[in-house]
Parts: sequence; C-alpha cells; structure tokens
Amino acid sequence: MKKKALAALLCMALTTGLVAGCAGQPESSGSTSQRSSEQPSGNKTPETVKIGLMVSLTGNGVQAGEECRALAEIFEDIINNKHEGVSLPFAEEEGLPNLGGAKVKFVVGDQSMPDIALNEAERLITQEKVIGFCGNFSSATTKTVMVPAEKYRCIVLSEGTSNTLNQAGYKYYGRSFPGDDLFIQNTFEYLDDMNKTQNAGIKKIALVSEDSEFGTNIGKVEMAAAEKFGYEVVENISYSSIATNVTSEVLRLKKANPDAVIMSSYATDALLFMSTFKEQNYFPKMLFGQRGGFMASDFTQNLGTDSDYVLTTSRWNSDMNNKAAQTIAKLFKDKTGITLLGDTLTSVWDGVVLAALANQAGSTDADAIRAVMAEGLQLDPADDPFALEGYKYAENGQNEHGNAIIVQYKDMVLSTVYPKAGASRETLYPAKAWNER
Amino acid sequence: MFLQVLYEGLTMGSIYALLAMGIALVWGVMNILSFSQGEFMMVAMYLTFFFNKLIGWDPILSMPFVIVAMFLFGLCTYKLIIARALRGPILSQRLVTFALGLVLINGMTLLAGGQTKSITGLMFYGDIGLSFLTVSKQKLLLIITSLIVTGLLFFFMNKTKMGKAIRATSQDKEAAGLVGINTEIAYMVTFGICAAIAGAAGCAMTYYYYFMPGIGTNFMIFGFIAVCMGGFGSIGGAFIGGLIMGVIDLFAGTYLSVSYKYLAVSVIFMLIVTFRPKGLFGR
Repeated sequence: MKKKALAALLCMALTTGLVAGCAGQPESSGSTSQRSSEQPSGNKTPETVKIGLMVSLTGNGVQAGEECRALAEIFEDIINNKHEGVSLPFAEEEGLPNLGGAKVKFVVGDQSMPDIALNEAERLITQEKVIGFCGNFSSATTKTVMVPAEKYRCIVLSEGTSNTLNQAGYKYYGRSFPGDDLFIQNTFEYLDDMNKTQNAGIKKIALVSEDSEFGTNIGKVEMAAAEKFGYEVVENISYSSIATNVTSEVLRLKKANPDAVIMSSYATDALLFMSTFKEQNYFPKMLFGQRGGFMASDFTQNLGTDSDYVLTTSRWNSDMNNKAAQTIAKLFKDKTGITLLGDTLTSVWDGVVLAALANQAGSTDADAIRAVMAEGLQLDPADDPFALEGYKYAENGQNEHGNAIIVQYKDMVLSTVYPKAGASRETLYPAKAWNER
Repeated sequence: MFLQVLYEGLTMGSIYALLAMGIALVWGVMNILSFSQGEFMMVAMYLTFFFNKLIGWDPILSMPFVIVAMFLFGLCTYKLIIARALRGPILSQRLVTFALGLVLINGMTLLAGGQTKSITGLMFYGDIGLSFLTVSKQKLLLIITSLIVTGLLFFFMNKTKMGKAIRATSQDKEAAGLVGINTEIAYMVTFGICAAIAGAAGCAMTYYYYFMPGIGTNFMIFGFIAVCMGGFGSIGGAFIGGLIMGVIDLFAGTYLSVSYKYLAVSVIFMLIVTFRPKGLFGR
C-alpha cells in the first residue's frame, strides 16, 4: 500500500515537473548544449545584469581577491542606488538607465588555477547567466576563460598583460589598460628620462622574472626592449615563484652589480626577495617591479618602510588629481581600512566598464556590446578614476587609449613619479643602502 | 663567497631536514605518507603569529608552547582521523593526510584571511659580521633549531621507553603487541611527535619567512625528496638528505645558473635512487 502511494506521488511529481518545464520553455534560455549559438541573457531587458568577477579563492591571490570583492560591493551600491554628488558612473541613477533601471550584480567565480577558471567561467555563463567577466586575471587564466567565453559568446575584459592575448584572434576579448609591450616601453623610456634629467648613469641592468607565463613573457619583451634602448643586461634570471629560497638569485645579482634591477614577481616571492636583499645587505641603486607582487597590499603591510625606493609600473594611483579617483579611494579605505591599489581597481573597474558598455548598447547581447567596444564607450571623463582619453577597443581587443604610469614607495605610500605631467614628486634616486636608512 | 654559499645551503637544508624528519618518522613507523607535514608547519607559523600579536611573545619564547600545542594537535588528528583511516583501504590511508592538508589550508584562510603575514620586532635580528662570512641571526636560529630537534629526537627514540616501543612497533607491529607494547599509543605518539617537529620548524621559520596559508605546500615536495635521498624510515638519513638538498640547491643556483638548481637537485636525486634505491641510509 505504501509502495503504491509512493509510486503515485512520484508520478504526480514527475507530471507536474514536466508541465512546469514545458510551460516555462519560452522564457528559459534552453539547455546547456544549445547555448553555443545563444547569448546568456538574451536581448530582453533583464532585472539584474550579472557580471562575473573572477578572483582567486585559494592560493597566493586570496588577499587580492578579497579586496576585489569589497570593491565590487562598493560599485554595486553606487550603480544600483542613487548617490548625488558622487563622481562615478551611474551614481546619479538607480541601475542602468538604458536597460530599464536593471541592477548590477557581481557574481564571484574562482580563478586560482587556469583549469579551475575554465570550469568556473562555464558555470557562471550557463548557470548564473553572466553577461561578461572582469577580475584579477592572469594571462594564463584569461586564456582558459576565453574558451567558454568564445563558445557561449560572452565578453571578457581582462588585464592579463601578455601580448599573446591580443594575437589569439579572440572575438569577445578586451583589455582596457596596456599590455606588457607598453608597460615595458614606458619602463625604458623612464630609464632614459632618469639618465637625462637626473643624470642617473643607468647603463647596466638585471632582469629577474618568475617562470610562469606572467614573468616569462615580460622577460622576453624586456630583453628586446633593453637591446632597442641600448642597455646592457648583465644578469637575466628566471626563477620559480614557489621557490622556498632566492639566496642564490640574490648572490648572483650582488656579484653582477647592475645599476637597476627590473623584476616581475608575485606577492610571496617579491617579499622573499626583499627579505633576502636585506639579509644579504644588498639593494640596487634602482629596484623596479612590473606590478604583480610589487603592487599588492601585502607588500607594504609586511615590509613597512623597507619598501622605500621600490618603483613599479601601474595603471592608477590614489594621488591622481582626479575627483573620481579620490572618491573611490576614500570609499574603499573607509570600507576596508586598506589603501586601494591600481591592480585591484582595474580588476573591478572593467566590470563597471562592461555595465556601461551594455547600457550604451541598450542590450546584454555580446555582439551588441562588442559593437559598442569597437565604436567607443561614451563615458564622462569626470566619472573615470583613470581619466583615460576613452575606451575604444581595437579588433585585437586592446583599448587604444590605455595608459601606464610609474610609481614609487616612500614611507609606505605610493607616489606617481612618471610621466612628469601626472607626477606628484621626483624619483628618489639612488636608493639608500640598508644601513643608511 | 664559497663559505657564504655553503652556510646558506646548510640553512636551507636544515629547513628541509626538519620537514623530512617528520615525514620519515611517520612513514617508518606507520607506513603513512604525511602529505600534511607542510600544513602542520603552516599551522605552527600562525600559532606563533597569534602568540606574538596577542601576548607579544617572540617566536623563541613561544616555541615550547607551540611545540606542545602541535603535539596535542597531532594526537587529536591521529585519534579522530588517521586511526580510522588506517582501518580502511590502502588508498584511503595514503590520501587521508593529503585531504587533511587541504582542509588545513582552507581552514586557515577562513580563520586568518589570505593576507601574507610576518612577525616584526624580533629578539635576534641582523648579522654577525665575520671577515669571511656574513651570518644572519635569523637563519642561525633555523640551524640551531634543526640541530636541537634532531638531537632530541635521537635521544627520545634510542634512550626512552616510549622511543624504544615506537621502534619496536615500526619493526613488527604484531610482535610488539605480543610482548605487551600498546601499538595504538605508539602510533598516536609518533603522529604527535611528527606534528611537534613541524611545530618547531614553523616557529623557527617565522623568524625569516613571510607566510600565508599555502606556504607549506611549497616546501613539501623538497621534504619528500630529502626523505627519498636519505632513505625512507631513517630519521638520520632524512636529516642528511635535507642538508644535501639545501647545499646542492645553493651551489647549483649560484655557480651554474638559477634555472639549473632544481635540475641539479633532481639529477642527484635520480642518481641516488638509481644506485641506492632505498636512499643513502634506507634499509
């Protein structure tokens, strides 16, 4: 009797499910296998525009991921609610006006490893129905996320800097800020400028790069740039970012005695290098980082004033004379107690740009957004913390107006030192030896 | 330069040795690969950090407390997880510590966040400047800790009743049980000692290293290679294996190329296991 009742109940449940499924069909976006020719959220005006925020939930990038999530919450609040007198996009409105006031929601996905990033991106596209992605991508994770993004037609705005990303022929990819080539050109132009204006006498340089895609690509471009600009490379070190010691690397640098050391490192290895420099009582006249670990909040929080004199390329700095920049820097500091760094802001800002692109397109369709990317985003420069001349993406995905700056640490504060037009002070050079500080 | 490289190599080697000894002990007695040894070390680093932040203790002062805490942590882990896994299939026995390591990494991330931590205001800081060598005080602490732990471990295993019981259990568990040794207690204490060694290592390492929840993983592979070099089950072998690894790492990196240092370690490792498959001191 009980079995019969159970069977009847199951039949009813199945029938109800089927009926509900059929009734819901016109609104549903179809099965996963059908999605390859279909945009996740379609052309209809959605109530909520979801944007995938890809951050590291495990491993070395956890802290940067937490900071990105906090910043995303701030931007969600600014876009979705009315904030009069705030110089940031959509602050004066509630939601995205051209999409019927749709609210923006950042949905977090894990990108700790390239394979994890691929699965997470697919999940966010097919289940969460995000219209696109932003986040603190590396070049390697960008490449894997592009696989489902191209398959399901979904925009990815990533600041992975490898030049290979522009050469891959992606249709739905964009990078708002410079790639390795421009950052490195900027670096060497800066060295030339230092030799000219401050008589720095920099001739011999050493390159130190971690051996994943991030550092390897930078190392190659730096070698070519050093030759082009006429600098002698006295040491070119490639090391593992999971190294448990970098003493031999530092001993080699000490022996080669370059005028400037240019490094590409992640957070933990950048700190390990700094402690080994101090332990070996060695510090070059100029220590130059290519973002990464040198732009992480961990860097100054652990090193304190030992971070003094370190230079790094950046996309943004909180001393930029720009109301939007000051506003977002203050909101972030108030919320987290941490100073907002350029890499964190760019990672989430790409999501705001994506929302603005969808708003301008009046659609969440990837092709419509891509068309707006090509024609150029109309964003009030006063609302842009980066004060870029614009956001117009070439066919290879690169924003034609992306810009780079050079910043330097002193007393745990980053100040812009190059280009001169935006500099808040002169470069402190040469760096003082450890025992003179 | 030569002496400096040798000193730095021995320093690194002493860290690998501390890790390797814990792995060798657990394998020798219980036939379990302690994949979580690096994570035990990470937990000890955070304990030291919390002692420093909450009470202001220097890592040297907190070391005895961290060692005891880690010993108790090891006992609990054995009782709650390892002992049960030992009753299961061989694969579960092999992989349980791997899973434990992942739990510890993610648990610590939840508890303390993913930010890199460090301890400042250390009791011993700076260099001892000799004409032929610069001795970092922080690194000297690592070498001293390694030597003391090795000495104490040898004393415990060879001179104490419990140490002898553990050795007997490792040689033949059934026979040891027949002569009245409580093999369950021997296993539990072994695992506790393994965690306590990681405690000493973690505590000493906070003197030099910045750390975050994933730090143990980076050291583990070197710990295992050191054990294989020295010989599985041999504590002395693990110690020597660790030192050899550290010295090869530094000499190859400094005098050949940084790119070749892990290659050099791997080649020496392969040569050792080719000519002495059980390692230098394995039986």
